[in-house]
Amino acid sequence: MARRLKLAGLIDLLWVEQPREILELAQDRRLDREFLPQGPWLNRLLARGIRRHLQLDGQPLPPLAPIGDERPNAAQITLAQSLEGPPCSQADLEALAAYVARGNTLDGPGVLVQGIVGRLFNGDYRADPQSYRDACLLDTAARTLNPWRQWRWRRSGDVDQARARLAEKVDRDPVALHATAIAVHNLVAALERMRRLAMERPRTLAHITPAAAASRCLAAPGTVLRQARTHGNHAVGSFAPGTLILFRLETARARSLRHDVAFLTHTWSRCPAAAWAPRLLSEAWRKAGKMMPAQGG
Amino acid sequence: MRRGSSFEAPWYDRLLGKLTTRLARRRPWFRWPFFIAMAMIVGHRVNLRQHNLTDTQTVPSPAPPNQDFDVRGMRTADGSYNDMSEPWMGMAGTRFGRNMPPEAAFGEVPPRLYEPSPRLISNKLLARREFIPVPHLNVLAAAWIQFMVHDWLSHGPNNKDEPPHDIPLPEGDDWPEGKMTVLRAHADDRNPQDQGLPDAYTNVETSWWDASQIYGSSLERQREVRTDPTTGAVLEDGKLGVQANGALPIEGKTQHGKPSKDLELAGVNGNWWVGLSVLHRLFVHEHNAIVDRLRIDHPDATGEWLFQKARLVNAALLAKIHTVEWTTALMNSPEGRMAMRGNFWGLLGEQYHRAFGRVGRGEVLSGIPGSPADHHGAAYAMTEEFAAVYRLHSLMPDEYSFRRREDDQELLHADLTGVSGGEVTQIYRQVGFDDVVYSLCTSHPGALVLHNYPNGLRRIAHTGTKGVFLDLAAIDVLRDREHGVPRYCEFRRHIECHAPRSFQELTDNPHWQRELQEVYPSVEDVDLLVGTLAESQCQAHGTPPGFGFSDTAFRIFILMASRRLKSDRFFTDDFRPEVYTPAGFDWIRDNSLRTVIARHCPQLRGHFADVRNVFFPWAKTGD
Repeated sequence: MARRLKLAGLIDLLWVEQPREILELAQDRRLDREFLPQGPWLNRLLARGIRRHLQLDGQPLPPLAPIGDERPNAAQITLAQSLEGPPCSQADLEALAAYVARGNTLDGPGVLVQGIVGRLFNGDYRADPQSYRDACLLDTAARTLNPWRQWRWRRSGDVDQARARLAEKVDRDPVALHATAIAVHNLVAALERMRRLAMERPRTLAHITPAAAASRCLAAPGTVLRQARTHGNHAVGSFAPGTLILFRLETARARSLRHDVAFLTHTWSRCPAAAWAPRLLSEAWRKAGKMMPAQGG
Repeated sequence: MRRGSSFEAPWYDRLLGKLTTRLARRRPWFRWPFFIAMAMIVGHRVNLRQHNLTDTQTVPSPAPPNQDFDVRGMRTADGSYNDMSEPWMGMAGTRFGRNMPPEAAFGEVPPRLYEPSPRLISNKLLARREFIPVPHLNVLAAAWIQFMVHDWLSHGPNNKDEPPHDIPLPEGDDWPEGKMTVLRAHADDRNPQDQGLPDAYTNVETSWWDASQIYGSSLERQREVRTDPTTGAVLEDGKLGVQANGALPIEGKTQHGKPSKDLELAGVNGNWWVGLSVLHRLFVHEHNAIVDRLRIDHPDATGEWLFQKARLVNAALLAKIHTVEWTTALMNSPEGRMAMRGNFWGLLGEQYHRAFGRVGRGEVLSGIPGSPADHHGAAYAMTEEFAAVYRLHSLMPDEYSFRRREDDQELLHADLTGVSGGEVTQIYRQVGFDDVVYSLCTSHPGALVLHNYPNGLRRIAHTGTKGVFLDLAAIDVLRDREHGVPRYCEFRRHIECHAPRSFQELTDNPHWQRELQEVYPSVEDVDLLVGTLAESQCQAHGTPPGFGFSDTAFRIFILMASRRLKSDRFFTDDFRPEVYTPAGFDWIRDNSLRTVIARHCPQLRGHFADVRNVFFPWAKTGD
């Protein structure tokens, strides 16, 4: 089932939340991520906002790059290969497990997770509350559909400064910037869910297998956007150049629990962390279970 | 995988659903006045359709080519092409769906899988101490539900490739050789799209209400039941094969090829016993009677056409009997009767329907048959949870007395083993068919309560393997855990039922509370089967008054009983005389189990003439 908001000349949005429909449209090459300023007025505004926030040195962040000729592109393949080993260091894993089992991080796992993700790209990466706040701001700016907030951010330059600080921490590597500023929030949400699950009942950690816990807690991006390049039709509705199609990925994932929906695994825009993220969550759950042997029966 | 929560009901349904949720927080539907209770049943169904339907078929199976078969006007042998846009839907070999959200459907693994030991539960909570009957039902009601379940589902053979489960035996258990092993369930092969999902299991029967227990779920099986046992040739007149004395043909093995001496032939002949045999025989003869009737109007029709149209009619008649006769016998309260008759005839009722036909296309006023098909956002399939709440083995008595209808004198006494498998054929050699029907219909089934699981099913000699036994009660518990059916409290939370916070809230019976406490560490650990039996004695949240089964089962029931009709093209868009033939359509309207038994056992009419429902106990000779 899809929802439509269309006012001629003003706005044209199409929300899709059925897993099957999302997977079909994610394969559809009539839709892209170029976010050209075309279509109705508000669509142009939104596309401009996305391009403005999710770029580095004038180039779109790689995970937001348009289809291009080669998919998956070299950067995606390299990253996916680099994530094949252990998901993180033992020390990081223990810190994650302690959070899941005991919730012993006052401000949530944001800084911890940002550090883990950052060290995938830069062994010396150190996250701190400021870097995590910057990541939250950049993520909010990229996701908002509110033109008033967009305007305020443009005036203040807060988002640009946050992006600059985050980019410096990863040597201006656009892939790492995206991972530590945008993708990190899905992992944080997943760990918060995991902790809630572990806290529900003392024996949950023993009763739910790591794979099942990872599946239950995995978090996909709330919304992923595509822009129609051409006129076309699909079962969910018709579109024209500039129509913004919003995949409600987390809704679809929660409904189906499928990893290929969460990571768009079998599409040209697949997430390179499709295997890494569930593995990290499984390991954290397993380790957390071992931390609570007395209650694990 | 799709889940029903994507389905959006009309605003008035959603409003009713929300009101129902609020009211149900105060007390369950059956503790409200009649009209509110009825509205709440409909409201619960709206909510269940919205939140409790999950399709697990991530990669649809390719549907077989339909060749020259008229898929529009006839049911295919394997159930394909019922939904013309997704022909694989509901066909044999597709996956079971779920009524629980996927995150709650992961199978349990050791040590949780064996805690508490299923055998301990079987011994301490399920084993029958003395037979507790249901006074208002007869044994045909027990047979009927198994007859239906064989139509809808089967998990098929278990997994012999992996090491079996080794079920922990409680201290002092007298289980043969001190070791209980149970084969693992056979999960469907996983494909890349299944990453992150729980295991899924396949239904080896068609999921549709298509009488596949009679006709089989493959063309090969269909040919076998259409074969004349005398000549060995497929009957050209469209009828099903019967012996000269009216009995079912003898196959001598199960449909999966296991040898079983003297076993009768049927579309599904697993777990065979005399009650199943009676119903199969009645409806095989009903099929042949329908063929005779259709031939009057269609003298030039081929045997194949007559067979297929008679099957359509017979299947619809079974669906009608189940909906308006069996369920109303089991849910013997004004709300239960109204709800189930309403599913078939609508709130306007049968008389209005007969006089004026349907009013509009909606399902509430004029019933589901004839309304538009709707899968409510998830491809149709039987579900694991449905299979779980239909574990009704306690309905089976352990002892059977076969009596002569003329004077009620006992001709034969047998235990469960003596009425099972090929032994049925031996019974017919000593007791006439009418006397068998009379005997079953004047006896009571067991009540669905704790301590009433037939002991005959707790130590079954494994077919074809000497010295190997099965405890079906323990297996029932184990399979639910293995299939990822949540335990009782969690299960209830997912279907808008109050989840008990203590053993005292689960059941009012203080003995049961103590026994449950001895077996389970906490009420959250209580298995679904045990919980549904224990709630039979719970006034606040348990089994509704007059009901033969739990409120927990009823919630799944109101969803799935409607869905079996509402998803099926032959009960919705194509439930019309043009498809069924005018005579066939009238046959469904004018017949019932009462007329079926009267047609094929006319001598017995006097015994059920005065009962309101033929699943109630019949009059004994001399009463």
